[in-house]
Amino acid sequence: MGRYAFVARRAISLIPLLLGILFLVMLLLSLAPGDPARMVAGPRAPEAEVARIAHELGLDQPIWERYAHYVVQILQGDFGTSFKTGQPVADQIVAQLPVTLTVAIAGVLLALLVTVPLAVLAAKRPDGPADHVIRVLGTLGIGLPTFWVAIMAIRLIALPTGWFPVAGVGDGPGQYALAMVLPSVVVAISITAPMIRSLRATMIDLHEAEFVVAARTLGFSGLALLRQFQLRNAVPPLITVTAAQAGYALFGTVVVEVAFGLPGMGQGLVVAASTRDFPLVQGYAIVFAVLVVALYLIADVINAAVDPRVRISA
Amino acid sequence: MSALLEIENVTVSFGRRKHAITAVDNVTLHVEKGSATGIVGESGSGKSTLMRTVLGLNRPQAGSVRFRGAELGARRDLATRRAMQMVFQDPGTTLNPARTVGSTLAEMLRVHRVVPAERVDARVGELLDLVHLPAEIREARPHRLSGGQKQRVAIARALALEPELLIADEATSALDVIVQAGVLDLLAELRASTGVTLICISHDLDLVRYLCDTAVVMRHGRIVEQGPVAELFAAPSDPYTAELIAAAPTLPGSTEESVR
Amino acid sequence: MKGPKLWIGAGVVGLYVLAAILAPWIAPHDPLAQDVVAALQGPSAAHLLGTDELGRDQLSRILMAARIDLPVAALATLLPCLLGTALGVICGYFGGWFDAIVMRISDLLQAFPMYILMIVLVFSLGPGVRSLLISFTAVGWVVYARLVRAEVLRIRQTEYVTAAITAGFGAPRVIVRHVLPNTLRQTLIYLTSDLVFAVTALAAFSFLGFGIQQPTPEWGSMIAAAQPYITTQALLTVVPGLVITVLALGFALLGDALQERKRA
Repeated sequence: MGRYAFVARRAISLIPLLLGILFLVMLLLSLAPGDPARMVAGPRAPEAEVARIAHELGLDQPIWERYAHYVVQILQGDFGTSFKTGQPVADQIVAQLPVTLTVAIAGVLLALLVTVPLAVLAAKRPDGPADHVIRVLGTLGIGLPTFWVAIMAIRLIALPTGWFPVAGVGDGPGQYALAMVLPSVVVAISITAPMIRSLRATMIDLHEAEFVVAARTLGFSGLALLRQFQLRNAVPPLITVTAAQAGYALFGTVVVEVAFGLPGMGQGLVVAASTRDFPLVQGYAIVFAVLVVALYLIADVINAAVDPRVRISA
Repeated sequence: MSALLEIENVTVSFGRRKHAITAVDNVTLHVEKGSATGIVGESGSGKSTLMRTVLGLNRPQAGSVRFRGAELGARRDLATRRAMQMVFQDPGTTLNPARTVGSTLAEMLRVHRVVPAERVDARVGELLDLVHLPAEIREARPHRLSGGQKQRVAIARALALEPELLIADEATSALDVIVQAGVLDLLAELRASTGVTLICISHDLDLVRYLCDTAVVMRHGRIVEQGPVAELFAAPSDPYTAELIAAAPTLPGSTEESVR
Repeated sequence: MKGPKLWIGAGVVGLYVLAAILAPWIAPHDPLAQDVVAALQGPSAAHLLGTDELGRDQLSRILMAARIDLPVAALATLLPCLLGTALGVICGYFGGWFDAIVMRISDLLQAFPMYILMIVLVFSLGPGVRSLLISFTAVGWVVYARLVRAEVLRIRQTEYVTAAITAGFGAPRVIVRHVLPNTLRQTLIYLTSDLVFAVTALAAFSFLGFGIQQPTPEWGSMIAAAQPYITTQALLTVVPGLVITVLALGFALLGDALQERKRA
């Protein structure tokens, strides 16, 4: 089928998923103790006031109605209003989105940059010296807690060298860019290990695949073999793994933002949770989920572009 | 006296209406007690499906199956299940990899209470003897056994329940030729010693000729011809049967070649 | 590389378990005892790893934290495993509407960045061990269910299962004695990597403030509390972090060793 039709079809099939996510978030949040209306009104407000606010917030409606209203609201770009600041949730999220996206994307790209050559090298001679070293590094990498690596990065790199802001984004674009470096590196570290493992395994399987062996008997070798036969076929699984790891990367950014004090969605979520700001928490949760869904959609599209089998079976 | 197994007008099809595949088409077959019947045919002729239906693994869309005079439904009691057993084709997955040989056999004995609990171990030994396997094998797990050994265990497992009917579904197809011969001899011997009724499904005509007294030829889900083995092979009445016989490869200078 | 992995991994984990069991007896001080005067001091004879911002003995706190982190991480892995396996077996063996519903729900759950869902859950249920475990379970069962379901579907086709059914064994017996044991290998392999994840995630949640609250000693929250003092008393952040990493490594090595061994 045509390219656009494929993308459109995929996107449409995700709509029920998004609606389900929305409902799930609302449902879970409704379990929370504490009365949102009371929270907005304040501890000393009279009952009547609390009741009025409850009505305003639609809290006296059954969940289905609130859900329907919320969906309509969201489609108009209104994610509700923060309890604490009274400002629109959407505004806050949008302001913080760039930081999170930058760190996450930079992190994933860095990870890919490191993963591909290392995995290829390791797969070239399995159980060889390079492979052993890379595998050990991989095992180590999996065990490192991201937030700790972030703090170590601050202690061992940011503080002594003074090149990078230790907290926050500093002033000016130059400082901003520098502030993104260490967090991205930390996020990259957190996801590289599983990616190397996966790509290495794929490459090894491919190396033994019959069509590659056939190519070698025909005289292909070295870089040409790599490029034309192995890498192209390694791409789809790589994309799938990258997409999965990118999902983890999003969490990595939450932790990294808190450690580095960056004004991103991650820190926003944590702060919102600690202040019991329901609409904010709800908004963040939904946006994060939408990001992940969008991520998988992109991964699917890239896969379809690279691998004709995906298009045909769709 | 009625036959041990009576299959009457059985039809089995899979899939829904328009895309339905009829695997077994209005088949009627009677199997006498103590006989050895060979069912031959190419892949897809419905042989396995027919037998699996007899065992209750499939449900027929039409027709009935009677065993020992009683009609068999979807739900069968333990006694009925015990009376008919099957040996399958693939030695690779025929035994539970997580269990030792002894434990697999013992389980059969225990669940069906074939012998009292104290006798189970001894009986396992007897079963292994029956299939000419060394006693130490009871401690082994399937991955240590060869294909032939696994099939012997599978036969022992089936015989553990002392069934009246034993169905061998391509039981030797996955084995090397010499090993095959060993298993076939075993089946012949067991038939003689225990009196079990045998049904052998095979695409190998020589096997059927060797082991069975009656042969049934199936094609596209239908029975094309049936009768005593010697007559069928010497003078087939159906052209398809003749084709099958002719198609079987023979070595130059063998007895078959000179017969033809 | 295979032999050593198993022993190193098992050794590390064993050591931690031992430390956790013996902590009340080998910890030199009461982990909750504050001594503000002696706060933020480096290693000394009295306090081998120094004191934290409230003057509590770091070494004792790290030891006692093992009594929380270890069992909670273990439960955070076992509970989803049990739930997921049970669901996976039923879905794989019986199929039908149950399978369809469970798979749909798992699709939905998988779409979420796992942690975000957990944060929402912990937010809703309040901080503490109970909500953490509920969160891990609610999110973690999905992978196990899918894994087990796939294995069950494959195993259902095998001849030994058919033989069991032909022999008249009832569904419970077939499932428990023939199907489940053969799914264990895959499940175990994933379990160890899940343990690695559980240990680090637990610490991360406490670091963020969603998990185990102060004053209960927990490696992650200890790091969070010590972060402001990173220039003066770096040891307070470094040591708990190393402790987490080494434990995670232990599980990872065990997992690797198991994977290689079972392949043989």
